[in-house]
This record gives sequence, C-alpha cells and structure tokens, in this order.
Amino acid sequence: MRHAIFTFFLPLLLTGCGEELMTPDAGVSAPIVEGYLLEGDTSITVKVYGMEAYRNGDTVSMPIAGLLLKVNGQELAETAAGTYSLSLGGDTVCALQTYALSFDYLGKTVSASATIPRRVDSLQADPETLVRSASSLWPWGGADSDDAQIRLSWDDPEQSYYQLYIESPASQDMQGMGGNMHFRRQVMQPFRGSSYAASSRELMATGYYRIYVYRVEKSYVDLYERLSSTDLANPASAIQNAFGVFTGMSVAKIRVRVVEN
Amino acid sequence: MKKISIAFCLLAAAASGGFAQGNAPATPAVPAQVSEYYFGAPLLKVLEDFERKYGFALRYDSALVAKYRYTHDYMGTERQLAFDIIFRETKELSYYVDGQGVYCIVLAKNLPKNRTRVENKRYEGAATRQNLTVTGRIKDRTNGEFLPFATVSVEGSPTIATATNTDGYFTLYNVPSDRETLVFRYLGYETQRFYLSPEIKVDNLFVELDPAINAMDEVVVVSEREDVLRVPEQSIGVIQTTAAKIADLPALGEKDLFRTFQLMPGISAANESSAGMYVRGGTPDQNLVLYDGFTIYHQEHLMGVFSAFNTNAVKDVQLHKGGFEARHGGRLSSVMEIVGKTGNDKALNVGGDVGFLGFNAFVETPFGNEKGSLFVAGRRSFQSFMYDKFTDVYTESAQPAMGRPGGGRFNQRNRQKPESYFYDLNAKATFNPTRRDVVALSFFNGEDALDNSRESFGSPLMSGSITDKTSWGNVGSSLKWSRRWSNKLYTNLLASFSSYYSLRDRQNSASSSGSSSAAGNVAVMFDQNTGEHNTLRDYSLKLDGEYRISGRNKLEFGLTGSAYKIAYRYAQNDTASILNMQRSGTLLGVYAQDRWRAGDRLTVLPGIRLSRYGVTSRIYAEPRLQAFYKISDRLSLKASTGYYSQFVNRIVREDVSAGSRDIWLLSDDEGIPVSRSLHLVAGASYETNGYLFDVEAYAKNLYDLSEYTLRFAPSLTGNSGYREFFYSGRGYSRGVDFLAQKKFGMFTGWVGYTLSETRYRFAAYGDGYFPANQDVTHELKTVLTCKPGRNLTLSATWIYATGKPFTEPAGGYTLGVPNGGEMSFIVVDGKNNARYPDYHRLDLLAKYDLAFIKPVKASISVSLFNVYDRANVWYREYAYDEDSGITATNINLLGFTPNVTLSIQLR
Repeated sequence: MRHAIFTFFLPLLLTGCGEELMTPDAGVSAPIVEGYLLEGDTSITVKVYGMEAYRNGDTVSMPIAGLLLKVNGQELAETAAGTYSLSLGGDTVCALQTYALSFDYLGKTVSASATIPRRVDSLQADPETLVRSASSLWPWGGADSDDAQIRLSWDDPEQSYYQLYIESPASQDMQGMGGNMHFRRQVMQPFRGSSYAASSRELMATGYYRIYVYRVEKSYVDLYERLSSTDLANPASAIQNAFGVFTGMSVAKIRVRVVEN
Repeated sequence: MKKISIAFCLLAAAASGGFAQGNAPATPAVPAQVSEYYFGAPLLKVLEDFERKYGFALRYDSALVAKYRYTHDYMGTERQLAFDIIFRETKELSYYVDGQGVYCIVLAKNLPKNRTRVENKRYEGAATRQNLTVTGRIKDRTNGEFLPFATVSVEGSPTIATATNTDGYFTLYNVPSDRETLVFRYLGYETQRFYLSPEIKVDNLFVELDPAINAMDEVVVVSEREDVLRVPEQSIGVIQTTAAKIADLPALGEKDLFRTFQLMPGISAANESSAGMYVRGGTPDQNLVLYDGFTIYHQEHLMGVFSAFNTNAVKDVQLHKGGFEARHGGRLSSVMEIVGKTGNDKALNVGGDVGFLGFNAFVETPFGNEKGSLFVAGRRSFQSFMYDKFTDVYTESAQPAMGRPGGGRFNQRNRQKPESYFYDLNAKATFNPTRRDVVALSFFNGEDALDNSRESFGSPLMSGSITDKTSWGNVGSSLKWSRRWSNKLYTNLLASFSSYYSLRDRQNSASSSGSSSAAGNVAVMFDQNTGEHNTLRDYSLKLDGEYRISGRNKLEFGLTGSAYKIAYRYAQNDTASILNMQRSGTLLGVYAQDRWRAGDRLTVLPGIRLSRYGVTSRIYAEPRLQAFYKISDRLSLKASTGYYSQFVNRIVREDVSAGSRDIWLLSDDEGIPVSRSLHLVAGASYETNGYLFDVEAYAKNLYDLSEYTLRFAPSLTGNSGYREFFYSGRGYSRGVDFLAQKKFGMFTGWVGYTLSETRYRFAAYGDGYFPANQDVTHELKTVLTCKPGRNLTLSATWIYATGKPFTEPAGGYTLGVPNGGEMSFIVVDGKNNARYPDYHRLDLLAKYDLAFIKPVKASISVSLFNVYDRANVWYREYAYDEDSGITATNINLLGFTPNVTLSIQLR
C-alpha cells in the first residue's frame, strides 16, 4: 500500500523542484551619468557619480573621480570631482550633430550618444502682455480660472518633443500671492506639439517672465515616465551600463509680461 | 443520536400518475383515481369524500378545517396525489401518517418534526426488483428550491453514488435491490435516509430535505450538523458550500462568498484588499466565474474588499481548483460555478440584512400554482464609519503617483474623502412548465462608483486639483431551458449576455517644488487629463447534455459559441489616444467526456475540449483526464491532468490608488498570445463518518502569459504601437494542499495547509525566474465553528501565510534638470526580490438566532475582524531624495474591525 501511494505521488514530487531564481543584475554598482548638450554651448560638461545604496544604508551618492571620458574621441578634463568638461575651443555644440560618449568603469564600457535637435524657430507669444484683474487671484494662492492665457507657438516640422521653463519676475521671487505656492521657475513636463497655453496658474505674479522652450530628445522625455511605487522597475536609460541621461537639447526664449488692471 | 425521521414527500411518476407509495393503507376496493369537481366546497365535505369514496382513514379537528373552502377539478387524478393537492393549495394545513396508517391533519406549523407525510420504514421483506435505476429531484422542503450538487448514495455501498445537477435532478444506477436505503446529503441540510420497498416507484422521486437550521427549532437533537465547506466525494480539487453556511463564519462587514472559499487550502487568503480568487498560484482572471451559466467579469466591490455576489441570492457554489473537467473551458486555473436562488415556490418571503456597510434585501414569491417562482435581491452600500474605514485604507493611503519620476509618491494627506458606493441586483424567474422542463431567466447587475476628486489641495511642496471619477461594473443575463428528455438524456440550453465596463476620467493639475535644488525654488508642473475606458460584451449560446449510456457510463457533451467585443482606450488630454483597441472575436467550442465506472474501485473521466478561436483562426485541443481509485471504503486516490487555454484576459494595472484597474482584453497574435496551461494533480482522501483527511499535490505549467505596463511606452509621448504595452512570459505553480476536517457535530471545522511555489519568467525583467506576485510559500488556515446552544453559533478563523514577494529598491539617485530642479529615481536589481512580513490574522464571530421574535426568522451577528490588530503590510511605498535617501512607508491592511449585522426574514 505504502509503495503504491509513493509511486502515485512520485511524478509530482519529481516535477516539484523549483526553477532557479534570476540573479540580481547588480545595478546598484552602475554609475550615474548626467550630461545635457545644449545647442550653441561652447563646452560639454558631464557629471559622473555613484548611486546611493538602499540595503547598505551607509553608502551615499558620491562623485566618481579619475575616469577617462571621451566625447567623439576627445578626452574630457576633470574640472571637479566627478565633473568632466570638454571645451570646444571656439566651436559650439551644433544642431543635428551626434556626440558619442564613452568611458570605462568597473570593467564595463559605458557608452551613449546624443543628437542635438534643431533650434526652435518662430517662437511667438499671443498676447505678449497679459492683462488681468487683481480680483482673479485668491489670497491663498490660486487663480479663479484659466481663462487668461498667453499662447506660445513655434514651428514644429519634425513633431519633436518640447519642454518649457517659465521664469518668474525676479522682483516677485518668493513673494506675492500665496508664498510657497509661487515658484521662481516652473518646469513643465515634456510634451509634443507646436503650442502651449500658459495659464493664470503659471503666471501668478505680475511683471516680466522669461519662457524657455527646449526641443529635447526622446531619451530625455523617457525620464519623466511614471512608475508605480508598488511595482518598481528601473528607470529608463539610453546609456549602456549606466543610469542617467546623456542627451541633446536646443532652446529658444521669449519674454512676456503680466499686468493687473 | 441519529435523526432517523424522514421528511420525504414522494411524488412519483407524473406521466403514469403514480404517486410515491409508502405504507399508507390502500383498500383494493376503492377507486385508484379521483374524479371530482369542487368549487368553493367546504373542506369538511371534501375530506368526507376522501374518507368515504376513496378509502382514506382520516383524523382531524373539525373546528380546525371548518373555515376552509376548496376548489379543484380532479379528472382521474391518482388518489394519493389528489389528497396531496389539497394540502398544496391549503398551505396552512398539512398531515402526517401515524403508525396505524391514519392520516392526521394538523396545522402545518404544528406538524411533528419526527413525523412525515408518508411514514417511511425500513423494508424487511424480500427484494422483488434488482439492479434498479432510481431517478428524481431534490428540493428544499421549506421553500421549494431545487438543490444542485446534492449527493445520493446507497447506504453501505458508497461507490454507488451520484449527484444532482444544477436543476436538482439525479439518476442513481445500479441500486442492488428495492430493499436498499438511499442517503441524501446536501450541505447545510439534514442528511436524510429513505428506505426503498417493493411498493415504491423509483423513476421520479421528489425528495424534500430540511435545512439543518430548522431542525434546531425542534426538540429533536440533530447530531449531523455539517461543516461550512464540503469536499464532494469522487471529486478532485472541488470545494462546495451553500449560502446558508456562509453566515456561520466571521465576515468583514458583509457575508462574502469568495472569502469563505479563501479559508480552504490552495486559495490564497492573505490579502483582505482583494476578494479575488488566487487559486493554486493562479490570478483572479484565470478563475472562470459562472453565475447561472453566464460569465461575470466584475467580481469585486469596494476596490476588492468584497466579492460582487450577494449571498442572499446564491444557492450553491462549487469551486474547481484545478484539473477540471472538459465541460469547462476558457480559463487557465480554476472555475467557480454559482447557482442563484430560484425563490420560494411555496409562499411569499421577504428578508434582509443591515450592517455597518450597507443593507441587503430580498423578496421571493411563487407563481403559477407552485410551477414557478420569482426571486429578487438587492444590496447597496452606504456611508458609515466602517465604510470610511475601508476607503481610508484603500484610497487615502494610496495616493496616485502624480508624475514624479522614480516611483516616488507625494505624501499628500490633507484631502477630501472620496465618495463611493456599490450596489448589486440579482433577479431570477423560474418556471416549471412540466415536470421535465425548467425555464429560468436570471439577471445580474453590479456596479461600483468612485469619485476621488480633490479641489485646490495644497502643501508647501505641492498644489493643484484632481478630478477623478470611475465607475465599473457588470450586467449579465441568461435564459436557460433544461429538459429531462428521459431517464437517460438531459439537456440544458442557455443563451446569455454579459457586459463589463470600467470607465475612468481623470484630470490632474499639480505643481511641486524641488526641495534641494541648488538653483533655488523651482516648480515641476504636471497637467494631465486622462481617460481610460474599457468595455467587454460577451454573447454566448451553450448546449450541455448528459446521456446515460449505461449504469457505468455517462456521456457528457456540449457545444458553445461566444461572440466577444472588447474596447479599450487610454487617452491623454481628450485627443491623443495612447492606446486605442477595438477587438472582436468568436469562440466556438465542443466538448465530450465520459464518466466511466470501470469497476467497483476505478472511475475514470476522459474528455476533450476543442475550441476554435476566431481571432487567431486556430483550433485549440484540450484533452483532459480524471481518475478515482477506491482502495477501501475510506481511502481513495485521485488524479487529473489536462490542457487549458484562455482567450479573454484581465490585465491588472498595479495602480492601487483608485481600485479597479482591470482591463479585459482579447488574446491575439500581436501582443497578447493565447495563454495555455498544463495541470497535473494527484491526491488521496481518507474519510470516516466524522472526519476527512485530504491531500492533493499539483503542478501547473503556464505558457504565454501576458503582462501590461505603461512603463516601456511613456504615457506622455503617445506614439507607441500597442504591442509595446504588453510583454509575454511563462511560469509555473506547484504545491501540496493538506486538509483535515471535522465534518459533523457541535464542533466542526478544519485545518488547511498549503506548501506552494509560483514563479514567472518574463524576458522584460531579465533572465531567470522570479517569484510571482501571488507566490506564498506557506499558508495555514484553521477554522472552528461551534453551536453550543440551539440559537448560538460561535466561530473563529486564524490564517497564517508567508509574506508575499515585492520588489525592493537597490538604490537611488538624483538627476539635475537643465535650468534647475531635479528628479529622483529608484533602481532595482531583481523583480520581487524581497518579501513582506508574514501575514496572520484572527477573526471571531458570534451569531445568535433571535428565536423569540415571532413569526419572523431573525438573527444578529457580531463579527470581529483582525482581533489582535495585526499590522499586516499591504504594500510598501518608496521615495528618494538626496537629503533623506530612500524612505519606505508601509501601507497596512485593515486593523481590528468590529461589525454587527441584523438579519430578518419572514420564513
């Protein structure tokens, strides 16, 4: 009897051996690269630093010094710990040109490339001066509606990605309505399109604003992708054997004004 | 003490006019049939006729029956049936037959419990018939509900057994002779014995069983009070319960069907945030839920706290944990068959419950002279402190991620409470036009709605507003015609419709500041309007049949046809559709299986199911096999294997902020392959009169699984083909379920233990396997119920489980953003590389039947959930910034939660 029962269960017992679990990819040792190549700049700067480990709480993020970084074959000089720069010597970062970064770290070659987008053309604001009533602002920092807008537009022949920065009037820095609700610079999420309507909520202070429109690469946009905190996965990275960003940008700016009647 | 009284009403063979014949006196000289016409005749006169003309020996109180009048046209009605019809139409009266064969007429409510209409005694004479086939139907004596999946067996010969089908019909072959004793069992009812004799016709028995709870009202002590859940004989991986028993277990606010099953081994219980069924490592969408034959896609209320099934509307439930038969298909792991109540076909009844979460009411009434019945039940939540407690845990603690890269969430708490509600409605009309036909129309509608909007919320780091409204639910209906063509052939034709919808509109405007920007105070702005709409339509036609080839062979066969139409749209800012899918497909299926008793010890059930899926234009063959071998009367072995395919998939988004993130999609050859699984199950049962010891080992290989994420196709950029949102993999689940159960008596209950392993392999996560989200290594469940008095029920459940796996960060970093600001990111080095702390919980229930409230049936239940307030972790949130590093926040499941429920019903 006992033999019969054992024989009966044997196939299941044999198939019950678990498969090997995946081995961690030790991503915590990968370096972090931070390099923004802006069209028109006369130099290229790349920062390299380490990650803060979670399980070993004593490990903090530190610059990684002493690396040999190259961009298109040219070596970068370490200007500060973990900060590497390449002066283009009278030349500038050019639109549509590709810059390839590479260096070795812990036996792996880190590599990435960035192609500089075209400059943003025909940036316009309509109107250039926004007039609104003082009563449209709530004392606690909000605005009653978004009816008052400044519409920004530009040429977008290639259906590129854009990101806006709005710089508030310097005189209103941290002042005005709502205190904490009022930021000197506002960074919008990247988006696609050839226009943007800046609303009252983004233009709460009176005075002159500078608005920067960056044309950015997809690899940069991916950084903004949302992740669930309950199903963690690694952030997007277009860099081989490293996290971070190495990307190209171009920018145009315009000045607008907000006044109260 | 065994209760030996029998409450049978044997209504035999309508066609032949043969009524069940007991030992009632029958004088050969009197006519066998009654031909009389009564129209408003005094009942006294009618009874006098039956005494004088038709030979009945009657005893009654004239004063009692004098007030009744009677109308009926007998046209050659068999005399016993004619006599019974009197009491069918004069419901306040009933009768029993005393030891001298005298028919004693009394008020029905005073009918002695230990007396029956037909006194059924053991036949001691010689058998006159051998190798009989007994057929019939089993119903509830109190309300006429036909009882599905009840068992019928020959006492002393447990291998000679069968079960009723969903309409309560049964056929029992190979009954050795007409002096055997038949045993009828149904969970929650008294076990009944019936003694065959040469006088009894066995081709159309109508058997009425008494609910066990009623027995407690009588003086007679019932020793066979049965446990809440039952493992049917000759089954593998099957668990059964009835709605009546669910109330005997502690409840989290509402009696819940799924949570009752979660107390059995093999079904994960360690998560009160999901009433979904994780069966043997399967996910809820791999569990087919059939309600009166149609598929229910929306299975949960209140963000997963409750199942969508109102226990007041449910009669019987069977769960097939794996290795199930060929008659079921379309799912990888398991099948749950729910049979809705048909309603009381004897008298009007109303009832309901009210607790801290909502109210629940039903009404049932007969029509057509007991030929039909109508049942309607509804349930709706209302706002209360307890409801708020749920929503606080399941929504407030889980703020939606509002664009902050790296998975961090803003710890924004100063917000308005979400408004939400759920309701469901069940209705069923059942009509028996003949004794061979049943027509039933069933309807189900369940819906949840959630308004999670917030206006002008603000904090030092963030401001903005959110409009977030979601509604999701299911509407379904089926029309079923069942016919018993003969003792050999039974068919079931069902046309059904089921519609699932999940509609979410969210507008999110927010700004946040970088807290440690070197460039000064910088705000990162978010402004997103998203709409996520998913609908599924399922039109199905099914024909199921049973043909008894012989006493040893029963052929079961069927044809199914389904047409699906699914739409899913995930849109950004009303214009850009990130994902816009419109799919339709057909699924045609045919199956056949033969339940073959190959000998006294061996029963096998080979079967095959063939499915043609229109989307892929391929045929999927699914061979199945079950086998049972009885080593002795107490010990049996069982095994099953089979292939299973799934064509409709529920994809779960891991966003826990607003409950249902279920998306039902059709498989195709592009991004979501047809999933397949192979089951291998083997086990053994050792069963005594009072105890059951059951062990089942299982192995389930899963192929072409699909997962969904927006992770690899950014929601803001919107140019991705839909394949980019899905990725495929494979996996397996293996384990052993142990069950030790005490089935009868004042103390009942069980101990269940599962040792299991569920692992997946998806290339998107890297090489090698990782523990699936639902992987639980050890799970121990203990259930104890006790009935110390006739009105008091006490029960306790304790659950222990290994913590579930989750992905723990390996590190974090911060990137500067041009022109100021920064973004923080979290890095992981392995999928599900850590486990939450172990889960355990104790729940208690005290239920008291308020017997002193006449004439209604009422009870009050006090339920204590998580008695020692264990802080079980639901999930863990992580955030990272340069100043404080990675911080983890545990979001815990419910702590100690009391609840009181009052239940009242007329009958």
